[in-house]
Amino acid sequence: MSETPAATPEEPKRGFRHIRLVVALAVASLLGTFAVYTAFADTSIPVLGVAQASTGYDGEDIRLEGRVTKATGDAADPQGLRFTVRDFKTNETIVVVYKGSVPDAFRVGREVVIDGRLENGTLAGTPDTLVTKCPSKYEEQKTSADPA
Amino acid sequence: MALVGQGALILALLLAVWAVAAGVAAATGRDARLLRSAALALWGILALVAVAVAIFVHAIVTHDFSFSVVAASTSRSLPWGYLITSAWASQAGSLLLWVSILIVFSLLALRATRQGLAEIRPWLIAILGAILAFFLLLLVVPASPFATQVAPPDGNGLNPALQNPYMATHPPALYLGYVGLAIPFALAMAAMLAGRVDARWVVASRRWTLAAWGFLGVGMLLGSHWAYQEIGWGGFWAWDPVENAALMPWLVATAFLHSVIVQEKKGMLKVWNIALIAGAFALSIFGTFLTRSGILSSVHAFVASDIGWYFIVALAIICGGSTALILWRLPMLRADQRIESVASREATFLFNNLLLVGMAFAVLWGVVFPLLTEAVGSVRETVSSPFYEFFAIAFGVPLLLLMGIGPLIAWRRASLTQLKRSFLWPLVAGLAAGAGMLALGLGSSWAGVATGSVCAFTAATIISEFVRGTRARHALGDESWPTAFARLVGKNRRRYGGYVVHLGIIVFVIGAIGSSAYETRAEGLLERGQTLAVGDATLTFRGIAESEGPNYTQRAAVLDATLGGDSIGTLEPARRSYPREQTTSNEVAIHTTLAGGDLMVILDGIRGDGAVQVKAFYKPLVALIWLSGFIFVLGVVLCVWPDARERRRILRRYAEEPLAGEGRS
Amino acid sequence: MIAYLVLAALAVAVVVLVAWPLVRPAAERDRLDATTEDQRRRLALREERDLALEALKELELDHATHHISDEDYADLVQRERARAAEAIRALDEELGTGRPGAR
Repeated sequence: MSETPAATPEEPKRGFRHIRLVVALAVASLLGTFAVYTAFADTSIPVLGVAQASTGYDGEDIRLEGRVTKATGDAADPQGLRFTVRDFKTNETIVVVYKGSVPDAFRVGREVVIDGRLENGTLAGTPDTLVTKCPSKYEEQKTSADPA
Repeated sequence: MALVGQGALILALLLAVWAVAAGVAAATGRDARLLRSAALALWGILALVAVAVAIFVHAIVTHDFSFSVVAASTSRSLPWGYLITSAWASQAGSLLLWVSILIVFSLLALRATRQGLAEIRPWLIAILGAILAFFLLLLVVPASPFATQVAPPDGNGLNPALQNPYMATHPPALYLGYVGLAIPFALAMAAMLAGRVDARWVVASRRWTLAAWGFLGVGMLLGSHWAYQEIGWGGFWAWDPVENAALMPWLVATAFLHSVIVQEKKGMLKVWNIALIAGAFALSIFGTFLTRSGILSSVHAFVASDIGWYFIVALAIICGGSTALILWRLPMLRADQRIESVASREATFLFNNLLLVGMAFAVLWGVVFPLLTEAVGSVRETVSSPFYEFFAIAFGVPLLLLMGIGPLIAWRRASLTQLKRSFLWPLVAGLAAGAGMLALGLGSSWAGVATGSVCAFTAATIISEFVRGTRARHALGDESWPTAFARLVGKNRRRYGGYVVHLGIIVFVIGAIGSSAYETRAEGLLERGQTLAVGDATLTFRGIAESEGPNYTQRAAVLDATLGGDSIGTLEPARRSYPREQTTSNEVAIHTTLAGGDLMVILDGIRGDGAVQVKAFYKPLVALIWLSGFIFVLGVVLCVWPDARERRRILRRYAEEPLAGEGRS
Repeated sequence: MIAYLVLAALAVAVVVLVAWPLVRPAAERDRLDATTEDQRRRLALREERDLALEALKELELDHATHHISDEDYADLVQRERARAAEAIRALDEELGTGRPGAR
């Protein structure tokens, strides 16, 4: 890209117009990548409370938020952990079946967030996506998430 | 005592407001007395904040549970080390740490303006005062460390997850980074307000930005290591909103660090730089907002409070104010020179900036996506790791490539013949690495192969830079090879320190790609004597070992481990139970091999009959991630190291004739 | 009670601290000057001069490490020297003739 050296110290105008075009193209391709990816890749899932989830998300991948009201089993059991979450405001509940790491903070009464697929009203939890919030002012406990 | 603390903070807030008023008045009224008064106000804030901190820390160490915050986050049985770190474990305490760091930095920043920038001091004090006032307001109203209650016999204790040495390093490092970005921001805004659009503010802010950026990077790495080793969910970065909150300003600050070099050397990108530093600081405040407001579901978030609204207003002021300032001074901010060629170092820096800002934008998009979808009236939606990983690769790999191309290209324009020569060996290295990876069967991840090849290319470029520079010095005749190398780096600290930082980034990327793209995992329920295989390793369950610690009881699964057929001892992942805090914790077992890979085992559960549910990972090269931190710090230290000669050289031009305000105290 | 007294003392102390410089009336030496248009122009010229001189040094390094070819080096050096010379000339003009190369 060596331009013919100018005899006087004048900036070659051609190179400058060039750079503007290239920068515009670069910005366009970055935005384009972004737009195409977000439009076509199926990367987002709805975040639903229990009441919302009960209204027709069967068969879909969702992220469920609720409060644990009942829990049986353990990660070590063959059927894994089985627990019920209730909506924060109403009394609707959904049963969750989950195999995977269970956060240390998990217990009845705590708020949880879990990814999974609704099948006939029961959520089949995606392994290692169960997150529990601590009900106090200090930091919540992180234990499981998508292993990076 | 709490009353004195609260009163001290209120007085500090009033002083901060006075600092703003007096600073503005001094600037517009051209009155040095007001300037002195404003500066003294800052000193007053320092004293008052010291009083508040002393009272707060005293309450913590004397277990004064009449302080609500102390009762909520400490207990009598807390070891004294964690007692100290609990000072910043709470919302109020961490804000107090913010303010303490900010006032010290503000006073130091004022010193940075002694030569050649004295006229921006009134504005600088006004802006720093405004930022201080904001945080002091938070401390006085929504998040007071001095709220009182009837003292319970004992406190709630500190969350066991926070009771480890990382609590002493990770938050302070992050805060030094977040707060540190306020100084270059304030310098930029003050320079604009005073009409000093020359590069003096850039020179003054350079080391601040570097240091803040370094702390932010180290803070993120420390947090990652904490998550990996102690929390033990199997990874080190989850693209959680609070993690992204630190990443976004870091990315923009990285862009800023590069583009100010262009401004310093070529007088270009003036407007872009101001926008960048304002963006970095705004993202820093946004990050603090995300962490504290509870607006986004995150494993780090503090409980939701109305503190969020204060941040929203502050962000609006920062963004609106800096935009207005840029537009006002736009006529003065004309570039001195122009980019001539696409193949020039200026251009590569520009493209690097576009990619970094693009990445920051993608992360920001992912972070606010739930808020956006909810705002347009439909169901809240969220994105997770795959979204972020796509952009990390799509924008990151070209960035790595530019990291390799940039040093090979000269300023203003590159010579094609020289480029061909310079590119040859690194290109060969890159292709060889790619071919080698495919030959080793690593083609399962095309992202892995692409990244690995680019890393090899860029690493070869950087090493060739060191070699060429040393050779050129040595060729001058009177220096031995080691001396030539040392002098080369010593006299061009910023350039070669930067190269060291780049090498650190490459090491990090290799570790990150190795441990994620080429990770193997296995899980299973094991009865005594049964074996689980993961990659080249096997784990045989021998039994459960029970033990006790100072405040917990522990049950560990004893596993005999072999790697590649050879025994490597036992791994004992465990579960601990803390009766006082009524929680349990997971203790992950990690064996690091000489090759830098990790065999990690997590105990998910213990069945009634003694069988254990375990999850195991083999993560190749993960140790490189932690090693990269040291290389990174070495590079930053090299860049930041004061260079008296360089400083004199640069500042000479501002001393050639006395500028406004010089020669006064 | 004692807390209020301490607070009152602190309040008085900070008021005195910030009011102290304002106690005496404004004198001539208290005037804060801003850099004038002329000074800014000269500052810009000095920056231009220094940037050109530093660019020359960096060109030398880039040439020694084979980042630029000899022809490009010659051309760019000529350009930067011209830029430096122009800046120095303009600076001299600003400062009034007779002062050899402001240093």
